Amino acid sequence: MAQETVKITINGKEVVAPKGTLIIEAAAQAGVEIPHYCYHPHLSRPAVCRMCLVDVEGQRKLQPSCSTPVQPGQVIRTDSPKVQEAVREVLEFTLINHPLDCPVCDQAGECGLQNNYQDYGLYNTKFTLPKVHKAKVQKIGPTLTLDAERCILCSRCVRFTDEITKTHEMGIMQRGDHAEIQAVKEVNNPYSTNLADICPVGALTQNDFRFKVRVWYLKHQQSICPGCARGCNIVVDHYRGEAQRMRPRNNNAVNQSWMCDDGRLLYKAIRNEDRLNAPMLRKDGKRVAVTPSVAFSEALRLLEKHAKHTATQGSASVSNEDAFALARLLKMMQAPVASSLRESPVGWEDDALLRRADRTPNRNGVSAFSGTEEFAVRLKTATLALVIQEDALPERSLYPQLAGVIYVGTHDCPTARSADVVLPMAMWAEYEGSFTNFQGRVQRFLSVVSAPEGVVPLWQLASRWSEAFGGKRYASAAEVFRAMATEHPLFAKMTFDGLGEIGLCAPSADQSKEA
Amino acid sequence: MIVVPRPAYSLREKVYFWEIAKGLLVTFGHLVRNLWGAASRSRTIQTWEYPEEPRPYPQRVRLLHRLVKRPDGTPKCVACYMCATACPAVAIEIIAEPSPDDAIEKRPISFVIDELRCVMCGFCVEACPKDAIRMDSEVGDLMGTRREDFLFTLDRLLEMKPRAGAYLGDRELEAKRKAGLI
Repeated sequence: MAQETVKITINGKEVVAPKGTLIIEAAAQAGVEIPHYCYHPHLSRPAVCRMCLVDVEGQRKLQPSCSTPVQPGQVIRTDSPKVQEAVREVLEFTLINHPLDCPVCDQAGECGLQNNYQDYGLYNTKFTLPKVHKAKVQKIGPTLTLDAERCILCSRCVRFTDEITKTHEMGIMQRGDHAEIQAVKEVNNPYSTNLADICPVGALTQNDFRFKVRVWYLKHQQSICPGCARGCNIVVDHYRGEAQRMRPRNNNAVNQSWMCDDGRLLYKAIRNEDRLNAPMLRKDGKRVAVTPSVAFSEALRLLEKHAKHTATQGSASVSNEDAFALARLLKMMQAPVASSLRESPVGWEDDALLRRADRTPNRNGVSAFSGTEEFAVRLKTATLALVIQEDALPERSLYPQLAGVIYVGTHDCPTARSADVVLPMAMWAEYEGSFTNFQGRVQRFLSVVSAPEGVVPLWQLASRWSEAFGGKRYASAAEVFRAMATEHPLFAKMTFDGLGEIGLCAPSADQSKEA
Repeated sequence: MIVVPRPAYSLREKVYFWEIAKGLLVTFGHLVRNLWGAASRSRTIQTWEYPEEPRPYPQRVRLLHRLVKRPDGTPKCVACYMCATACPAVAIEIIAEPSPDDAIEKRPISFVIDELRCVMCGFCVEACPKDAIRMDSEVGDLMGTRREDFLFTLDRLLEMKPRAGAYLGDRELEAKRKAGLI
């Protein structure tokens, strides 16, 4: 069904927008930026901040563009002197009681007030009376700090807790100058940190990131949250080779503009103390660190020796490319395909917003390359166990016929401690690849920080091993993806670069699995 | 093209010895004056017996940094990273932490200036919104035998004494300093 469209003119430029579009959205599509505070695409529009006023021809008063839908033939100006003056005055009014906290404020650098003052303000304040002071540094929950003084009463946080989480923690109390944002109860819903993201000023800031890095030092990289089967689109902010925080990225089909609090802390696993940084071999019951090439050759020797008798446990946390390259290696070794994937370790309940009970990011993609037989069953006849990432073999003594165990993973665990060869592999933030979420949407994540020296992703290990069995070695994740797209219907007609920022759905998966 | 003819020498100049004597008179004049008048105002010699003989600094010279304290002795610095951001030599390393005092909110737990990297441009002083860092300390000569000697830590920067007669480079600030407000 073709959507009805409306023709309007913004700043002298003809724009065609779907019927019912708000002026602010139509303008954004046309590349005209309208300053705003209270407007958020995924929240209701109370039009309280009055920053987005525009001049609509034929209307006596300026109109808030965040709550005015486009009408056929509308002529809109956002750059007339009348609008510019109004916006400047509104901004000055908004800033009357705002403290000059910028040196200690974590929002400085990504602050709506700072940016809009530079773009639309640049006035000399006319206000000489003392400012109204309100409560500062309130820990309103495990994840948030509230500074009521900095608040400009845009009410985004109130609407988020009312409309999105429906937990109703935030409210505006008092009137006039004394109006103040307050948490009426502890804010500890699983999505609370989103409040810090949507707060256009420094009133709500994130405890985990508090005073860690100034935001203008951060570099940004698009990625996918590996926390559950949802695969929220995120941006990882990093500084000096370390991930510093994760924040959601807009994808209307997956996570809108939100992500959960647990997901945000996953960057900490990249550098935690359990991380495997160097390959190890087991010698006389002890683990000794060796160079990557030594461990690689030792693993290859075992794989060649036991090729057909290898039992493999795959993991739902690795990328599609990893799983594909591993499946290809097993096929070349004439070994049975990887065993069925293990159950997700700590389950959440599927909730109404984002979180999924399955806490692995890529079960949908990896299961396409795995068998259905249990790993434990297969172990009874195998002489070599190849375990990827999972803690699938904590009690090795139960299988005395096993001549060797190879563990490829990111973190130390009982299986890694009893393995003969431990090969660390790169984590999601350290290489590029793709995850398939529960909807069947294939989404690309990019490399954020560099892996520890000599540590490579699983697909590289597998493709290098497969050389010994007559296979070709892949040069890049894109090349693996190309091979995968030709061989597997789930990725048919997709290209790695074509996944873009918001990913692609396989045509068949699109209708059947959309939540 | 303009041709400028050389001036013709006079007889006295042609004799040559008289001019030599005139030149030597100037030379010996300087020697005598600097031998016996070293401490006097008539001194014209350009070399100084540094460091025994200290050089007077101009009023607005930028010497090593110091961090200014609040009346209670805590650093004025709120770890806003403005100086570190402005620094073209990337000489300033700050680590921030929440302050126990909510009115201050943020403070540096570590503040290190690598004076070997510093190019003495004074941008950090310009950038500071709290007048917490100044380049008006007494110390203008930088000596050390190890690299660590040049890493000025928070405690060391707080201990640096202000130089008497320093001019802050701003009339308003200067008036405040004279009035004892800062």
